[in-house]
Amino acid sequence: MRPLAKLTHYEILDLCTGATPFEIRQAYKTALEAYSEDSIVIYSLFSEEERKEILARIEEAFATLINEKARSAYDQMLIQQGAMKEGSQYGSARKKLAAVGSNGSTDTASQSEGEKPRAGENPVVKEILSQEVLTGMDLKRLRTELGVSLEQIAEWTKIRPGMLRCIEEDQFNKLPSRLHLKSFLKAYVQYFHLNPESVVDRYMKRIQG
Amino acid sequence: MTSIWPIGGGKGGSGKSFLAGNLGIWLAKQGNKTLLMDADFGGANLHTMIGIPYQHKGLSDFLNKKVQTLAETVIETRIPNLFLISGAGNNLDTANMAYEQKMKVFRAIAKLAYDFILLDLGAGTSFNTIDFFLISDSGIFVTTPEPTSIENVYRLIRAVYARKIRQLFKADHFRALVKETEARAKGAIFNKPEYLLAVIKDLEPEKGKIVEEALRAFQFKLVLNQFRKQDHPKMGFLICRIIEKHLGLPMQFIGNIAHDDLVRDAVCQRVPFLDKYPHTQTAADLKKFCKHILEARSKGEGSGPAEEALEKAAKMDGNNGE
Repeated sequence: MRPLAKLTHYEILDLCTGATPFEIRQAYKTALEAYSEDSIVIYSLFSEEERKEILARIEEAFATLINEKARSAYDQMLIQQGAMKEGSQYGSARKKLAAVGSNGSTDTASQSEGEKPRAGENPVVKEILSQEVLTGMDLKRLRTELGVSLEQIAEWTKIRPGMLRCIEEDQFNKLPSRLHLKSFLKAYVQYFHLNPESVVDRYMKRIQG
Repeated sequence: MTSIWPIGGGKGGSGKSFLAGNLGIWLAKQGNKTLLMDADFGGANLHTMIGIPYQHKGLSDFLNKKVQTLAETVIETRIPNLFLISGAGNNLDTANMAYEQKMKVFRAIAKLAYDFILLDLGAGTSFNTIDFFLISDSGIFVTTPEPTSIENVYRLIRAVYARKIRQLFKADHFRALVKETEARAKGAIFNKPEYLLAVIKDLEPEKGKIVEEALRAFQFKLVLNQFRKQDHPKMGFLICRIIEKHLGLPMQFIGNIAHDDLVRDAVCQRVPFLDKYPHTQTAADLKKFCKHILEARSKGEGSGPAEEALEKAAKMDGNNGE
């Protein structure tokens, strides 16, 4: 086997060094599935011992990369070893804004136009985002296409799953004030690293009209 | 330039002959001079797949010196531009051809002038199967989304991997490396040739780099056949990534081919599926697959057999090259 120990955390999870937290979560989920005990895609390829070793590496990689501080320390180490290029780390393209508060949600708030969201390259997502008006159903399709559960978004945005469901089901009578709804939508869209303004506006259009 | 495509996979039913036959017909109809060669020497049935009745003329004639050149064993089909070397008349000697004979076939293939040569390989990992993967820099692996088929294809890929390494060493040198690998991890050689590479890299870093480069030079493709709606949509991608990550072998996923009961229908009637059922999802998938291979040739893939590679293969001395 190509020595597992020599693969970087990024290689273990099939990520590029500039991967967003969203991409890291997705890759982690995919990896767990692929290397699970009953996974068909690795059938007969590894011994049980090897499989557990790989899973341990996946856990380690995820735990490091999803933690902002640990990740930046790890990136520095890779850069020093010459295994990673200076400037290729996540967020290096955007303006360095002082991260105020560290509850995680400020992280994406500082994302600028300099960083191209890769979820936007998915053809289905592209098609959805090319529409003039966006419905709750569109948001749901987008979310499903990217393989994210409502609960995952709820956990990250701290918005109740019930509220998110109302947004996706266009239950206008149950939605909060415009101001709140806008901020909820923004958080929802940011989870996918898509440009929030254009999506939020196109959802809100229907409520105005 | 002749583009050579070995097509291999698991046991009967994974779709090797089905894909080879339909790919051959499609390429020929696009104006490419295409040769289908039935390289399943003991279980030939490619002729049936493309609707050609039993033909006595075939590879055996060349090996038995009934004819002087491999080109003389080629038969025309009803489809313009499509030619076949049938295995229908193969005898047991052909199925178990000796090493020198196999080399003779390889050299003869190299002399044929076609746009495409498609080699429909047999199941299993006998040397007479896997060595055909060493005469081109590319190849197509076919599997269905079932554990049995996936197990077979992994085994085949590892066998090709081990065989490629073998090709790069002299016999006693290789034996010593095998011994060292066995000492470190029992039963690893053909089940886990990755360990062999690790040993080489450890003991002879320079040679290790050469081996890694040789493995990385392959441009293998993976096709997931008989794909059903409930199967994991990313399965093919995942398999390829896993092979790249853990074996260091480039493996490109080139698509699913939808399962359709009509395939059986077409096979039973011995008519090309693409002609009979052109408006099915399966036909659309097949066309995509064919187009991919056509484009791959324009990028220079499938080139070979390089003289050099053949010479190396020919030098694999002793005991059927092993």
